[in-house]
Amino acid sequence: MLNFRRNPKAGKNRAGLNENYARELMELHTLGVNGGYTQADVIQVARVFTGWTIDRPLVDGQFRFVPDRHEPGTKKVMGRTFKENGEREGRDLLHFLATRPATAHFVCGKLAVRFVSDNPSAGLVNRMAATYLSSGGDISAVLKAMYRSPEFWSTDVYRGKVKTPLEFVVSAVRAANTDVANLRPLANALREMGMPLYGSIPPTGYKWDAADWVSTAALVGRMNFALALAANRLPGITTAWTSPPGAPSPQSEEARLEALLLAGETSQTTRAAMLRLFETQSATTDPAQPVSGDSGLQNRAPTAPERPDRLLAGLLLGSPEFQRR
Amino acid sequence: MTLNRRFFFHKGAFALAGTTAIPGFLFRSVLAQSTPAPKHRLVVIFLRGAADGLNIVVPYREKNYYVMRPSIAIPQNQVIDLDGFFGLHPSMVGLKPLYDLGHLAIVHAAGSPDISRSHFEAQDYMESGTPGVKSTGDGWLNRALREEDLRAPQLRSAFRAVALGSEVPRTLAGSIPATALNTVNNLQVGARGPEASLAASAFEAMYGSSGDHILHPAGEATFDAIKMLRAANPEQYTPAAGADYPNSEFGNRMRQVAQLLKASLGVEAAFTDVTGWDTHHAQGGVNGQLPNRLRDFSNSIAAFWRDMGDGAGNITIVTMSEFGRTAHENGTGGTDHGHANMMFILGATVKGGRVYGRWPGLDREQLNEGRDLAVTTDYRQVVAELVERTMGTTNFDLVFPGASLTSKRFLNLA
Repeated sequence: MLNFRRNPKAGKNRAGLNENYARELMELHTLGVNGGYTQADVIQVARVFTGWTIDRPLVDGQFRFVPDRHEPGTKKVMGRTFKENGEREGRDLLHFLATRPATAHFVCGKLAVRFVSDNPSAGLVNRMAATYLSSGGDISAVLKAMYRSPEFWSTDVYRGKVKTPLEFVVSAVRAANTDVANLRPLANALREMGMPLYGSIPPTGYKWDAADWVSTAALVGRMNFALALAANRLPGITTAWTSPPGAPSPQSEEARLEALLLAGETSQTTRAAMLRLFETQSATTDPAQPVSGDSGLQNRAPTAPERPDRLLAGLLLGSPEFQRR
Repeated sequence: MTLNRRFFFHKGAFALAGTTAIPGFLFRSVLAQSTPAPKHRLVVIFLRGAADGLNIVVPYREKNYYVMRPSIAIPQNQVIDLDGFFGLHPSMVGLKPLYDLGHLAIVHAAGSPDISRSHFEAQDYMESGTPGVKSTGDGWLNRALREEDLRAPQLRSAFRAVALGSEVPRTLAGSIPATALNTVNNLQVGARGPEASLAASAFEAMYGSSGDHILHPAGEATFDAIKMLRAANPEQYTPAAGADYPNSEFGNRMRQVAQLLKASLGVEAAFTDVTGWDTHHAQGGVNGQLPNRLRDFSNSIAAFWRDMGDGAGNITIVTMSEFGRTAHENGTGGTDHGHANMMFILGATVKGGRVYGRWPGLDREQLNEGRDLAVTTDYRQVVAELVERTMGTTNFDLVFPGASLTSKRFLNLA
């Protein structure tokens, strides 16, 4: 973060302060934007962190404190005085910020959005924040408080979250027990879905709510990834779709794959949309007749899939149900 | 994150509670019909990261500008003079002909009345159109389209509101469906393999009949967009002669905005953004990081304008950035988060060739909090004038609730 945000090099010149790290520390990583700090506090925090830098940042350097660049004198942040104390000032300030109630609410709100719902209830967040403060910021205690809350187990939040692209890709590969010898196609897919690995441009990191991940472009990307993964079209990424012996019916194959990939929790409408393909196919004798009259997506007559299990698996992974968790 | 996914799945057979409400605004577009072109089109370009307006439209007669920016100021003899007081950054030479033709207007010292210096908060406020109000759920441009519908229902098209990018921006969020796409040429499901068309029709049926209150409408809009785009055949696109788009992300986006506008898709509002403006460090003066960004920015817009040719007659472009940057340069050869900024407005009917807005000055007592260019024009006044001129907006309270805008305070630039 220090490297990313270019901590000030010239500390003794007040006009030369760089406020950015100070602002983002409070806004994005501790107190939150309504956490009670002012522009004056931003400047004071920037003064505290003068002299904090990275030794040779472009070659994976380590943290370094440069006393010559540290602005001397007492600083005052949100009513708390930080007496001249070199590097220690910044460490004390970090502890001060980490233990504010606003930080507890901000961090716990993020955890609740991550694990429970896009709009977690105030009661849940308050309970988690109280645990955060009483446990001295013990995140495992906070998570336990979350798991033990009725809000966590409410049916209202069951599958309440839309998967992020990373969750979608990883859950697809894991559900299908796919052998991944080459990670690159997965990384490429994530980039196309707007979530490149370790590539978040804003210092907030990626968001966890559905609004950011559901759009025309994103859905097309998910459906295509699902089909490519299931058909073993991604180089170095192989799923062994072991069909039972004989000629299983589409219905039994659908049921088997649904149990494997979605724990059998697919809606009737999704199931019907998949099985209709096979009905239409066996009924279609005129090769020019489209599969469904109103879809307009057919360029040519459908051909019977060589491996119905792969098509079914691709459809299940791209289904609305698989986009949720 | 170490939790097993099945930990959640195995909780039991809960119903998909609360997911059956399907919004009433859903629509089905007429398949493969070209949509008549709207009478007017608005293109919004958001400069994310807070562009340094003082080094873009340079107040080169301000002595204090040079005092406060000893290493990054643009020398007087290097600016592209606009009116004897302001000058464009020299790397924006591509936009000067549009200014001289009277198509390009500039508003300086514009911005949001909210004093936030947080990128994320200020962008959110600027896009929602309600500075200081966090609870607003939709964006100003979506509300402007809705306001137009309330007076005279417009033809519905999946592309009436479109954004280049992988997500619908806040500006376009709301009850009028908006489409987001990364690139216009690869929007199809099941692009490869003999089962592609089977898969596409199955997905379409799945999402079309789903009870999921988020994925059902998104899926329907997606398949509408795919069909319309296929009918419009944008792969065949060649820009007009002389429209030399830079080979950059923004250049490619502007080329695709032109593609979409030229195809008969009924695009009325288009949005794209351009990043890389958060120049805290080594931003450069005449040359360097910011100048390179500005060259790309202005050449992309100039190429777009040339590309649209006669079609530009009903297009208005407006640019905005969440706030400006400090009047002083900082200790690392850059600038920090400030307040007011400039806006570009480009259009055949714009009264361009002028820099609008009251200039607040750069003396210490004239600066906002002693450090930033003060805001003298609420950006919503500018935007409201543009939506009135293009969409015929009459109910400004719907588009910008709480702003109490009236046409009396317009700058009369369009």
